[in-house]
Amino acid sequence: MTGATGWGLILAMAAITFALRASFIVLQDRIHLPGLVRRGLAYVPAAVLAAIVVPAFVQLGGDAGLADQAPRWAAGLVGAAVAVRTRHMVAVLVAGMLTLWGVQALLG
Amino acid sequence: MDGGPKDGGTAFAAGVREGVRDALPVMLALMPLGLVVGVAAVEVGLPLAQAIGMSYLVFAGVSQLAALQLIAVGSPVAVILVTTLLLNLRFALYSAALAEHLRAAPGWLRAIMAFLMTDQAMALGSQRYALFPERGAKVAYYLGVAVPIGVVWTTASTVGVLIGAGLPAGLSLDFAVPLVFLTLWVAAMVRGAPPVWVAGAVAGGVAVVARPLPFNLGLLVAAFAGIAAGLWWETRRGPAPRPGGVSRAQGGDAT
Repeated sequence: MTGATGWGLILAMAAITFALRASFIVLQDRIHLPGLVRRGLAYVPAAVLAAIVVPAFVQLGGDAGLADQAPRWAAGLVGAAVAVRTRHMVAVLVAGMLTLWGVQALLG
Repeated sequence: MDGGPKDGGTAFAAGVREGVRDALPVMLALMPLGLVVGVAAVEVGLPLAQAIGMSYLVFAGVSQLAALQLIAVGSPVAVILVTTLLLNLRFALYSAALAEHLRAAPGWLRAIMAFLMTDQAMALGSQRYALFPERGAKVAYYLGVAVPIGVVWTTASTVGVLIGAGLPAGLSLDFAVPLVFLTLWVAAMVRGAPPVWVAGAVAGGVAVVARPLPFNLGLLVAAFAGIAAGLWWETRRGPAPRPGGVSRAQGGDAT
């Protein structure tokens, strides 16, 4: 990515994020979210995070063989199990990365 | 002015101290995410200044990680910006929840407090305002929570960038990003009600199938499919617990 695109992207992300944070605090009562949007917001984290997470671990078809896929599947399953039990980011990172390296070494 | 600097320094200082005390455990919990974001920014190839600057300017860890992941897979800028909008929409809800408590402050200070808003600042702030509605120094308390969290977050991610620049390649460290998201996703699902599980499951499934779509549009298609599925389930089966954001935000795991 070129430097200019990078700074432009970062400033645009910053502007969007600040506008959302400032919305009600700065403008007070002058704006209202429609009810459907308000209700839909409750599902945004689970949906967006799922859309980012699941394809990072599970890939259909393509040219990736089992040896390429297995370490990611294993790391994803172990990471998910640790996440459900502990919900601790560092624990998930350690368990997931160790599993990835372990399975890569086994199949390597 | 409620809790403002002009109504006597002692009440204001006490409010700040109360906020700092409440924020201490949150600050510790935020350090790993800050480090990870810093390391990830270097891993996907951002120049040093941008990798550091992103955390100071955007100041929203989850959306930064998502953007870095999307940069890594070559997504166009528009997809990254829409994803940023979606992931940070919750800040508009937080803003609505906090507005009445912070209205005593002048406009410039409200803008600064808005910039410093995080999941944790919102969670601690609304908890304190709900538990002790009569207690003043609301603005001071918010600043006591939000400023140290901001300092810890930006410092941790700067350290992460500097560490990341020195890490050897070939360790698949970029894999840390999906693992962090996995933790956040699991936390969101476990905290949620059945319509949230439906939203997550549908979005995940659609994302896998829609992955071949150009420009990484599969991400947005999947996200909107999941949101629609959650709304549909909620309408069919009765409403989810109020989405106000407070219960979702207390995990102390997202900025």
